[in-house]
Amino acid sequence: MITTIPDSYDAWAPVEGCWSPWVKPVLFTYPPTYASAEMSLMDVGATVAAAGTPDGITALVLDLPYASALVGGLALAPRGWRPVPLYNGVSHGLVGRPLVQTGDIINALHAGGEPLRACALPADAPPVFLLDSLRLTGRPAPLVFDNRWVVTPQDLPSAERLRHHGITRVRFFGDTVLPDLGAVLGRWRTGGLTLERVSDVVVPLVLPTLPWWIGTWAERVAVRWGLKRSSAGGFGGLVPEPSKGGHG
Amino acid sequence: MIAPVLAELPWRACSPPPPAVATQLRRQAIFACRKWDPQVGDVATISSGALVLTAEAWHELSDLTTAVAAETRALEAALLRRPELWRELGVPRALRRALATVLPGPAVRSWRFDWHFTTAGWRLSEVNADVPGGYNEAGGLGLLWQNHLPGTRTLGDPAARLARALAVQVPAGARVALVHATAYSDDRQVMEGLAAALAEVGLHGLPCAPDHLTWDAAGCQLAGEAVAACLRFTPGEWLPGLPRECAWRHLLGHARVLVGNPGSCLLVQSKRLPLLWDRLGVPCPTWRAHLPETRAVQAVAWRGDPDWILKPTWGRVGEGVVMQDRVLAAQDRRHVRWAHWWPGRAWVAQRRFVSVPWDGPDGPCHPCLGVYTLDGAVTGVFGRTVARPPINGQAVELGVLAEDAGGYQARGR
Repeated sequence: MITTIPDSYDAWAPVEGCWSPWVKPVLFTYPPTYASAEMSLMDVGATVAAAGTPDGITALVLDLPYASALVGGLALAPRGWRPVPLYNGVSHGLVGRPLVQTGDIINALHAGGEPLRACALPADAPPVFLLDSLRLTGRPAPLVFDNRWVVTPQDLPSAERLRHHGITRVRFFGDTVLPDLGAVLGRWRTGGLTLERVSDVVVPLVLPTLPWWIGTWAERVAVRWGLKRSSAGGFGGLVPEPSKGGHG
Repeated sequence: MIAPVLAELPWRACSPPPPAVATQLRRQAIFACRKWDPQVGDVATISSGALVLTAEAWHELSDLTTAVAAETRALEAALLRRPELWRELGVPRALRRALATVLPGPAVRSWRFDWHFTTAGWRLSEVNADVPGGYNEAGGLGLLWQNHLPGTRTLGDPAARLARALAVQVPAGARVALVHATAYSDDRQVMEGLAAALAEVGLHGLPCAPDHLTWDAAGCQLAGEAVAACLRFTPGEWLPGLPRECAWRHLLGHARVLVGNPGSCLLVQSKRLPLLWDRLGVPCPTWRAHLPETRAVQAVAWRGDPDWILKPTWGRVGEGVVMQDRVLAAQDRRHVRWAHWWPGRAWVAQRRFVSVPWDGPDGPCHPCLGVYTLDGAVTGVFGRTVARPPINGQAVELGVLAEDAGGYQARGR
């Protein structure tokens, strides 16, 4: 019985798992918000069916709203995929309504630990990276807690590391490739991975065009000059500098 | 030439722990120390070892830091009297205007001085005087490791010391705003750690964004209730990007609200500060003896010379630092071109030092010891290492301890 937060984390990030280091611990630090929830989930049946079983060379990225990617990941685990939650935003503040709703995700992380452990996945099971596609949704306003977040290349393994484990292809499941994920996938493509989108059929993935200055010093200057859409704490539409925050 | 100081290294040999212990420590670091970013790319950022300083080395480092903190405080005071020099430090215009209007008020100063052991002894690379990070790791990792390394002692908990200092200056049960960029979980982890430390001394730490605060002459409110102190972790140079209605200038200092760190600390955080030493008339012998030679990029032929490194004036966590002793990455080449053709006040050139590697659990690596001070007194150490300098966002963080009076004996490797 998983009763403590670290136990729950251990189920998603087992010591021996080769993708465990990338499991984000932030939301595991919050207790479940309610025992049973009516979650705002999309039907992930089609996603699960399209993903099929691991072929040894494919990794998946599920970028779906609320906890839907987690539900999809848990449904894929019995087929041999290792779900890797990458939710890296905080849940709420002491002040204000949070912009990104995380209650369902927290609940699913805690509730999913035991069924995931029961799958007894091998240490090198191919990864399914899980994201909330609503992570950048909403606009900050006074007394709204801006808990939007982005995924950066530093939040995931490099293309080199994926290839080291035999992964040469990444399949994306989601409506739109958001700019932050686009930066990650772009590096993977540069690193020699094949990117595909899966909807009704499998097609090559087209990535969004990013401003040339994303990830450069010019971006910091843009931020400094107030071009950042939300400088009250969040970062609006811009992909921030790599994984470090403001402190020195 | 290798200096005689190398005859004795300032640290003891490190022995890696059994794998089960290392795993346990990593989990404890994540959840007990709130180290929420244990992996950056392909790099695990929690070391599987701890650095044990000799007692003599810690005394020396502590004394040096105390001296340099006093000098830095004097430099800050001198700069406050010389606003005409602020532009030369690279302080943005909006901040200069705001700083000029800040009235003196209650403040605490928590700074971190980054030291490196080099072939010429201890060298200082910078002071993080605006919003130093690393509190959770500095207080927590050493404590975790001490239980596994008999004969060692911890070097302090800067968050606990900061909380105790606030408890002396504000009423019991007071509310303390912990102002940060809420979208960064690695900032939030620091806020959660500080809130816990404040709770230990009977204060209420409230993580919030700058725009959650409302200000007037009487003080500051958060959600309609007064706060007695504001600890700021939103970098000073980001503040001008905030909406005007935030009244962010009050975060730099307020007559009735205790702030930490006050905005004037940004003046001594600028990497261009050494360029003004001679004009400030403040003796700073420790700085002069331990900071590598620092010049304006216009004043020295740095380009292509591996003895010079390029540093951005407001760089943090090694961002933008270019070392020219290697093949430059595309981004480094862009920085070099930028500094060469449009130097302005955005860059400085600094002499490279040669750090002495530490034989860590995963092989030789280069430590940086960030020693915290609180209003001049040493409060703890934040340890980081990299396989190859400079220290940056992919540094591995580690506990730092000192051998105690009984002496420390490393287990055999």
